[in-house]
Parts: sequence; C-alpha cells; structure tokens
Amino acid sequence: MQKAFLRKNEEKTIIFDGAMGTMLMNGGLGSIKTPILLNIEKPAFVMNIHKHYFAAGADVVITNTFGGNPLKLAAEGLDKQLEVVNREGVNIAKKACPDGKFVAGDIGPCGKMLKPLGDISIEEMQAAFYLQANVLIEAGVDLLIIETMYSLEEALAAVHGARKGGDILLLASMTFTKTKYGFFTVMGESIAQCVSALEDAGADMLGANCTLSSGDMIDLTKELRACTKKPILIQPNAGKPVTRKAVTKYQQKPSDFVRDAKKIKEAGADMIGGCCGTTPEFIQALSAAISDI
Amino acid sequence: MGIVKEIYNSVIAGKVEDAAGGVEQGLSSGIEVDEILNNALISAMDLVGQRFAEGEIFIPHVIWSAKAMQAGMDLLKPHFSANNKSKSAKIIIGTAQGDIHDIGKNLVAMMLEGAGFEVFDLGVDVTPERFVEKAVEENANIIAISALLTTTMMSMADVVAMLKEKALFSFKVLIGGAPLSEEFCEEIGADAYGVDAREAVTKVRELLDL
Repeated sequence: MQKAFLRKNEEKTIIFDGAMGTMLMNGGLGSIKTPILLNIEKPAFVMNIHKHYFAAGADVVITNTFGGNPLKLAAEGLDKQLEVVNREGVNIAKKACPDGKFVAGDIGPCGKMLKPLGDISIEEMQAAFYLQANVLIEAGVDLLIIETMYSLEEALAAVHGARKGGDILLLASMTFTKTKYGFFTVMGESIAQCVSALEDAGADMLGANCTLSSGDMIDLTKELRACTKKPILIQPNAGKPVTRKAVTKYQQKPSDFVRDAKKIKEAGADMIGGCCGTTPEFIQALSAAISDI
Repeated sequence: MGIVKEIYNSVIAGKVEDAAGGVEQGLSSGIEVDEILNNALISAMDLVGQRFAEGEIFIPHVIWSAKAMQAGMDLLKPHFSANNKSKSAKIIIGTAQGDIHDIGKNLVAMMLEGAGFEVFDLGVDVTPERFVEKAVEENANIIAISALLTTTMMSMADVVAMLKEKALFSFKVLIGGAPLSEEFCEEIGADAYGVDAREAVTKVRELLDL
C-alpha cells in the first residue's frame, strides 16, 4: 500500500480532502463539543462527509480522529474510549473508500505543553502518540498524518511515537504563522529547522496546514520545497473565519482557493488538500483544476 | 545599573531567579513597591507583549518572562498597600464552555497579572453560569473569555445575554481567540475584543479608564 501511494504520487498531484470539523458544524449538528464521539454516535453522518470528498475527486480522506490523542481524550473524560473512537474513525473512512483510493489516519496535537513550560514529560507525550498511532495502524490506515503541529518538539514526539506503532507511511504537517521575519511556528521554529528535525526523526513526507490562507501558503510552499526533497502536502484554510448571525463562515470562494492552489502546485507541492472552512466544492474545483498539471 | 532596571531586564530575558533575587534586593534596600511593580515588572511585560505581537519573540520566551514576572510579583504582594490593591482591578478569566484549549487563555492571564491586575482563572470549559457566579462573588470588573473553536465561541454570547438578563451591568466582557473578530464582538454585544495577549491588556485598561 505504501508503494501504491508513492507510485500514485509520481503519476499525479495527490488530492487530499477538505475540512472535517467545519463540515460537521455546518451539517446541522450545531455546536459539537467532541467531534470524535460522532464516530460512535453518528457514524453515517461522518461517512457521508468522506463519501462527498471522494466523489469530489479526493484521492485521500483523513479520518475523524484529530482529537484522538489519549491526553486530549483524558482532558474530556473520555480516556476509556481511546480505542473505540479511533478504530471506528478508521472503519468509517475505509467503508467510504473506493478501490485505488486511500485513508490517512489523523493525529492532532495532544493539547499539552512539554516540561518545563507545561507539565508533561517527553516520554509521556511519546507514549500517548504511540497509543493512538497503534490503534490507527491496527485498524488498517494506509498512512498516518500528524498535522496542525504548532510545536516542533511535540511533532517529533508524535513521529517517534508513531514510528514505534509500526511500519507505516508517515506524513508530518506543521502549522506556521507569518511574521515580518518569515514563517515560524508559534514556538519560534523555522521551516528549515522543522524539516531537518522531522526528516531525521523518520517522517516520510512533510507538510504545512491550517492558520494560513491559500495566498500566504504560496510563499511558504516555495520555502518548504527548497528545504526538502521529500513529498510535501499543503492544506490551506479557506481564508479567515467571519461570524454573521451566529453562523461562522470562511471568507474564501472555491475559485479563489483554486487560483492559489495552482500557484502552490507550481511552487512545488506534491499533494494539496484543504484545512478549516474548505468543503467538497473546494475539493471538486481543486481536483478539476489540478488534475492536468 | 539600578536595581529596578536589573529586574526589568531579568523579566525581559525570562530569568526567573534573577528577577526574584532583584525584587528581594530592591525591597530590602527600600525601593518603593510601586516603583518595582510599575517600572520593572509591568513595563517589562508590556515590552514582552509588544515583541510577541510583532513576531520578534515566541511563546516559550513569553512564558519564561511571565514566570519571572510572577516570581517577582509573589514577593511584592505581601507589601501591597491598600492603595495598590484598589488600583488593581479584578478579572475573571476562563476558556469558553465546551472548549478545553488553554494556551492562549493562560498567556492572557499571565499578561494581565503582569500588568498588575488581580486575576481569577476558572480554567477550561467554563459554563456561562460559572463566569457570572464568580464575577458576582469577587465583585469583579471584567469577565475575560477565550475560545479557539468556532463551535464554542457562541457560548460567549450566552455570558453576555445572562448578564443582561440578570441586569448585571457593572461587569464588562472581554473576548479573544483565534476565530474571533471585532465584528463578532459587536454582534454578540461584548464590550471588547483583544486580538492577542498584549491587546487584551490594552483593552482592559481602556475598559477601566486606566
């Protein structure tokens, strides 16, 4: 499967799916405290979102397990559900997945800071990532995607933990902010610093997602491309969220997103998807525009 | 270099022991509590906040500076006069109901303490009832609410509505968090929106006419 994925990536720009969280919110479920619980409470609803993304042209969907780190689950009193919510997240995506397409197991931040800033040790953090990765791998994901990492140390803990979970294709995607001095994580790590450390830790593919809109992601892609030969995935947000009459909407239209996505492709992205605020319409437009380049 | 300037520099550099040592030395050599508070601790955190907002320093640095400021503040507190206390307004802070993200909220809480305010941190996933109850209990000036999720920010509107319903007009509501905006603040009728931790401090000062 790993070979199939990498082969596909040589043939074409791999299209990832768009947002899950913002889709759940707009799906009539209103305010959702813990989206990962929907994997056991409303599996058909989650599966439908995956199906829409595949139908829109996504080659890969990301499981609804972003919040499935045991430390995060424990903070919500759900630590006993670790296995079932993560496993069902994978099962739902696999059921929605047509032949020749892929399921990426989602691993998000654990919600804690490492000592001495926070109260978690590096060993505890690695162990937590291992536990989640282990369930996702056992349940049969094609690859793991560690994403929205705003701290390099935490991302490294996730890569090390996931590597212990098994032999699996591993993508690590960081979240950068734009400062007047360039792109940095909120912890102050540069793109080059992140790339070098993540490659040494054993990440097979690298990426950037969230916070930045597609316009800023173009410049970031150029910089990321210059730092690594490994495949890279770029997942921008659909602009910045605005709230009107209690409904949160992202500002960008699919056409604006696609215009920038083409430039992101030209800047060297091997894989493109969408983060917060993107919908199947974005992915459909993206897939149509990118398939020929 | 004077001791006040040394404390100021220690806080900016995030040197916890140096800051605490400086405050001890300052107090024992008879420097006014207000002088240390305003010209060393608070003004240092102002600069730290400014540098953070401008992308010159990052979260780890801010946290170390805040820890240094806090260490100094702990030593100063027993020496606060009634005058110091009345100057420092009370602020209730917490993460919105349903939201467990506390990094941003903690930064704001530290900056507010650094600015000399008395801060009551209710933690994460705080219900509107709890915010209002604690504000009444402490006779607070401001309720500050943070949210990272678009799904949880609506509970901020519930706090505003609850205050109105109970006719508790003396409490001002300050909101902040990544998905928020000035427009959202206006729409739900909150009193102020802070785009980052530094602006949260500025907005509190504005709300209190300081």
